[in-house]
Amino acid sequence: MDTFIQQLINGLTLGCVYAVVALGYTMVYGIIQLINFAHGEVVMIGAMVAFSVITALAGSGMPPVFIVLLATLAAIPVCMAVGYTMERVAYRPLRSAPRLAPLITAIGISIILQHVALMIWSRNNLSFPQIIQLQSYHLGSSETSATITNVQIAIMVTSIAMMAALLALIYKTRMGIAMRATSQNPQVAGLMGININTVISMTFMIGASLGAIAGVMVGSYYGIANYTMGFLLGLKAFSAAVLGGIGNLGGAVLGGLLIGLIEALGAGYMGDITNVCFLNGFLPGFSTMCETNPNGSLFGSNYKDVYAFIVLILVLVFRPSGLLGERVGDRA
Amino acid sequence: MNAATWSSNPRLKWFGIACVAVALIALPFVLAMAGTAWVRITNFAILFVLLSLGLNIVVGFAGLLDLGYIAFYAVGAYVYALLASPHFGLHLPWWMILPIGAFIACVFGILLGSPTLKLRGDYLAIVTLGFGEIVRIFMNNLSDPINITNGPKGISTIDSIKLAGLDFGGSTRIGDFVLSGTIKYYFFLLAIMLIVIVINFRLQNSRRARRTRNGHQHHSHETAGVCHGRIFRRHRRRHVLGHPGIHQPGELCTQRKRDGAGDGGARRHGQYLGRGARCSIALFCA
Repeated sequence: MDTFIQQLINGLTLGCVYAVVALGYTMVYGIIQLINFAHGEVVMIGAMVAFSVITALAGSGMPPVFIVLLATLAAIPVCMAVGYTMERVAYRPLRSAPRLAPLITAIGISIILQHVALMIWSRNNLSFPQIIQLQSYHLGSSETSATITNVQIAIMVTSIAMMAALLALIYKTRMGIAMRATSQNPQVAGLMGININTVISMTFMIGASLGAIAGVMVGSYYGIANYTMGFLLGLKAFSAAVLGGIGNLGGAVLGGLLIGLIEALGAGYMGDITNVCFLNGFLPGFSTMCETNPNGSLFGSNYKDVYAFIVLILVLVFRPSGLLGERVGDRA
Repeated sequence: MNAATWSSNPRLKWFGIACVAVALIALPFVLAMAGTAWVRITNFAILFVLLSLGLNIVVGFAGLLDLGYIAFYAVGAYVYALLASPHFGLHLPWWMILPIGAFIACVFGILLGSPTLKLRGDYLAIVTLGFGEIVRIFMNNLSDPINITNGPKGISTIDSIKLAGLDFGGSTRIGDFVLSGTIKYYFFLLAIMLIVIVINFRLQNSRRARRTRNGHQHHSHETAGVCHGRIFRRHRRRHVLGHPGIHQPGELCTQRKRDGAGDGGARRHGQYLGRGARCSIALFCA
């Protein structure tokens, strides 16, 4: 039971990060029906910028929370600039092109951003300096009960705050009204005096700033950043957005949390479920293997990255509109 | 001189073809003077041509954006690596592995195709991308509990191709003339490339392909393409058909790897070139 709660906590933390990244995907998709493959790379650049700032300021004697805040504040404008630039340079000229063209452009942008990051930050795993003292809090009375760390709490709180801020922005401000109008019908929105280009740029920038914050969170959670980290993260977040129903903000959050949970529980339990050593008595050939490695399972925690994709494929096959998607996508 | 005069004047056309042929035959020897590395790069270029030709069947003819192309490439590479290396102690000849690899790649093609071919456009792209990732992760992890792929370390010391008594691994001496393994691979790859190109042209003009292309022309308005009736079945066939072409470069690539600088074996190589395939997708469609 303790393990279960522990995996639940880990999964929720991870899910919060996925949810924030998925929001960036789903916003862009909602407004121009483009899968912005490069969004994962924006997250990566956010983490990298935060890494640079934190490393530079680690020895300065400033309070750690303040340093992380500064790092986030540095990452946001950089990512916004990246988001704006890619929309302006790559996607805007292709807005009326066939659908595959911007998609492939997005892949190209993603490769370019990866290699720019490779040139700036090297190909090594960059480990974040441990400036924040990790503190674990037990969720029960016994020593073996599940724990939650202060970083995990911070990630969850920040994510929830970001989601609330985003919802407020979309449903309470003029900008939000303009965004919703554009996503429903760009032509008519334009006729109503909304500057579509500004709205789309803003969407990219808001998505990118969410990505920046997610990058800082991922970096501080795993303590490591790498120029390829955005690819898998982006793909999983996209799976989350599809799971929830792409274009739907609540769906992105739900999908993110579910993907996080599936991944954590899959990593925690699939190893035990697929342990083949119970076959030892019945089938030949297992004895030597199981002696050397009694936990020899078919799918250990090293397969955790697979579950998100399996979920993605299942969702697309059985319910392409996603869990909360009200419109059945004419694309699927 | 424009293309019309080229093709309308058969003499000129054959002259052009002869020029290209002479240039292609002379190329590796000229490059070898500058260093064998250049020949090797050319070989990789041909490999990429093969990959793009295979991808062209799926993306170009059928209009399915398949980003999981890498997976089939990896399957082909691994089939060769497993059946012709000391890893399992198997040393099957190359021509025998070719159909096996094609068959297994087809199985994977059906595996991917059956659930996903009702999807279109960007959704298909995403699913195939996910499929590619799944295959990559599996290749990376299938070393435990039963060691199949040797994990991230990959499979090394893969056999070189031996055809009709000719070993492509080392150099051959013909009189005073030494033909290095890399140059032999060049001609081998060139021959395969020509065969694949011919097959591609034949395919392009076949009845089935013309119908598929009709679908493809509608592809920018996919819904219209689907109304074209049997498009799904056609697509699926195309999917299966596309892949034998793909697995081939995979096998060849493991081949090329063998005389490479021993940097990690088939898997990493597959991954590296798999990335390359992603680039070639981008290049092709640009």
